[in-house]
Amino acid sequence: MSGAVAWAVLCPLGTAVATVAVGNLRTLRALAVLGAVLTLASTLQLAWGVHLQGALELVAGGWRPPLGIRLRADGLSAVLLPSLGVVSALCLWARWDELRGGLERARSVPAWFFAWAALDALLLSADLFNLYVALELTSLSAVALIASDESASPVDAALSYLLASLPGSLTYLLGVGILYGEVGVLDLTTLAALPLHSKALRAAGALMAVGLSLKAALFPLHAWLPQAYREASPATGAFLSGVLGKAPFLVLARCAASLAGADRLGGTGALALLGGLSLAWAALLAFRARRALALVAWSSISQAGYLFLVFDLSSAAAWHGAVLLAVSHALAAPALFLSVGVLRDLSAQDRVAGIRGLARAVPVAGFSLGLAALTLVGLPPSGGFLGKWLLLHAAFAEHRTAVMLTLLLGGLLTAAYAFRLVEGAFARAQPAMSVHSPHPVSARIALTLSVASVATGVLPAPLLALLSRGGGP
Amino acid sequence: MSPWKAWALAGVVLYALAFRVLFAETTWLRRLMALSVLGTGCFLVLVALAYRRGPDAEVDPVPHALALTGIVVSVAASGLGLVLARRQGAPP
Repeated sequence: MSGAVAWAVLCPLGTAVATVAVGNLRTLRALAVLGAVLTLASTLQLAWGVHLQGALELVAGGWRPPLGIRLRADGLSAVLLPSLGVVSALCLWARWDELRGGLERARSVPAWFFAWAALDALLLSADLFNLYVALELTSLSAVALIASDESASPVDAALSYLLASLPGSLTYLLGVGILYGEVGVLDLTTLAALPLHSKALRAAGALMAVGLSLKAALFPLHAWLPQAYREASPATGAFLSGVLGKAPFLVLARCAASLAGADRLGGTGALALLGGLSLAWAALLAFRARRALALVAWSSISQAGYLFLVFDLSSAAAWHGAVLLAVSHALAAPALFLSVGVLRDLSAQDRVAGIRGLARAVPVAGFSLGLAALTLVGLPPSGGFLGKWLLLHAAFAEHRTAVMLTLLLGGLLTAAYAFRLVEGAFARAQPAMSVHSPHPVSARIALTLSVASVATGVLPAPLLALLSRGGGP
Repeated sequence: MSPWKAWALAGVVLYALAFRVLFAETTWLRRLMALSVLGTGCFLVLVALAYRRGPDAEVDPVPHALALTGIVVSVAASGLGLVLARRQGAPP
């Protein structure tokens, strides 16, 4: 069973390596499909293993830590590996459909699988340094994906992303180094039990938090990210925001679980505050956005702020809510990107006003837009609603009024910009359509993702049970 | 100040200087070099920490391993950055 821990990383990595040198498109497609199926199968097997046995562990190569690497699959990994894997595979399918030329397809597929492998490694890491390596690989793969896009200036966007994202992880690494110098331990489970009092440790914690906040584009360090999302194609933007955007938050969650707490490294309240500010500010900018994909880009940054609110809460139910929110966002944000992308391609122009009335032309895309907006705003019975409900409950139990108010106001702010999209798309207006043909595959993938995001709210029990069974972050 | 602390301080100074250049308005190439120096500063801190137990005690191999892995990742990132900068052609 612990072999599944290795396969979850080796399958996408092997596919990435295998597809780099392949020129024939049919072989490339076959390899990509095979790789995706094998990876999903291994993640499901891993989830099943966690369900049966609790947390799974694997010591790579038999070399013991601290010089060797120990991989660990707990409840968080077991829930997120299959869900993010499914989203990755579907976004890759949408991307394949979007691209007409063979060269771009050949460039995107290996980078996609590298990113997937890096994400799986991140979810299975059990020590601070492995988290750094996996996070760095995720960023580098994202840069490669942005550079292989067909936007106006992909290389510019890729360089900006690289130069903003890498300092974040290096700052995190500096913090890890200082922490190691003080305590001598990198393993997360061991760190959770150690007393942590000293100025150097507080500095280390601050460096780690600042570095990861930069990577996660948390307010006020968020200015570098929207251009990468809105310049990218819808499928790439979907993958970046829905899947890879979760990576810095997950690293922060793992670190906070081991290092933060009463009488240990503090500062988590500040993270929650910045999350709330991020939520509000990005929602405001989304409301004022003129271009459709820019609105969706700001919406992703705003939704990421929701996740940071969990750092002010400390109960297990709060983590369950945050994970549920993360899963439903990982499903809804790509659905939003893809459906808005389909509608935008069909309209004559790039602006939000351009998608007016188009839902009637492509009902599938319109319906997925509506469902995705439902989840993002947090209306029942979607997964977004249930995640926010759990967070609200936990905030009430711990008397965190500010978090409660932020959650409620956040729903209102999200509804404001989501309404712009939904009202526009479903308006009774004569749409101005261009001669571009719509992408039926993208529309159907958007539908699948948005239905799944609502389904996580209707049937959350397996997810929550797996989360409790395997143990929290 | 013990030698390892001096080296660690030098690493932090390199990090700070590089950070300053990274967010300044200069050419891509300068910012990529600043990124490389940023990494070097962090790795210098890590390597210096290996000698924190004193001149006569055993050297801690873990920070060396961390620094080596970090150097590999940094080289890959610099390579990617240079390929992108070259493809872009003229400086901004």
